[in-house]
Amino acid sequence: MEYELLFFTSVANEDKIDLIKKDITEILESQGAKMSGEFSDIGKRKLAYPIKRNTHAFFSFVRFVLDGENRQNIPEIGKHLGLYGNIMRHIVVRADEIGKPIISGGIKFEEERAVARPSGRREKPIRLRQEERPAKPTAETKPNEDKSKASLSELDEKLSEILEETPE
Amino acid sequence: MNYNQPQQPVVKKSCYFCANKIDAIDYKDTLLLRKFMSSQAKIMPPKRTGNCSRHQRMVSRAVKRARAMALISYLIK
Repeated sequence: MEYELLFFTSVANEDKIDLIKKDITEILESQGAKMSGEFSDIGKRKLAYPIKRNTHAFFSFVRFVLDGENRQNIPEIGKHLGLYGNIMRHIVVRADEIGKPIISGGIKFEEERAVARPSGRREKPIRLRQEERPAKPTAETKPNEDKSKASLSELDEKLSEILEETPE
Repeated sequence: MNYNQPQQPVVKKSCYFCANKIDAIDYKDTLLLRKFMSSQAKIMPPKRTGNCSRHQRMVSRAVKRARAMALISYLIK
């Protein structure tokens, strides 16, 4: 029977996530589990309530198969994961209860990820906004559609120029 | 109590999950679960949502799992 394990670690452990995943696979495989896929990261996400003063955590989940008598090892897996210090909380759930391995509310996860990650991504939208402001008056001043289209293409060129400049 | 007052007609709502043919509810799907929670983050009764008892059990189980994993809060003040 297939199961899913969801766990999260503190943000401080985000660098060690590969090590943590390796340890978790070892724990699972020691109890006779077969990994049915790679770890899928939800990423850094804000916790609904602070846990030990952590407001954010790094979420990840994996699916594995336990067959026959190994199915009795679920509590054992829980014990091992509870004693493993690097993860904050975990949950093991039967996969047929939760359906396909997709994040169906993924939109929210994505949004939060975009907000949560400070570097790189944030800078671009802000600059775009600044460029859009002068764009609106130019479009209003030129009544003809052709001209506005021309201005739009000009703007696009300017945008691409500026965007090219930014990474340097 | 005024017992003579006519009772409001009961509008039977259909179960969201039966209507959309959803068999499994993922506890990670917080946007879906929020639909079945009140503004105080309580699980809404099936009388208000129209859920059938089978899917209401699934919703409540998913909400409780999501709460334990800090995906949705236990209460909103």
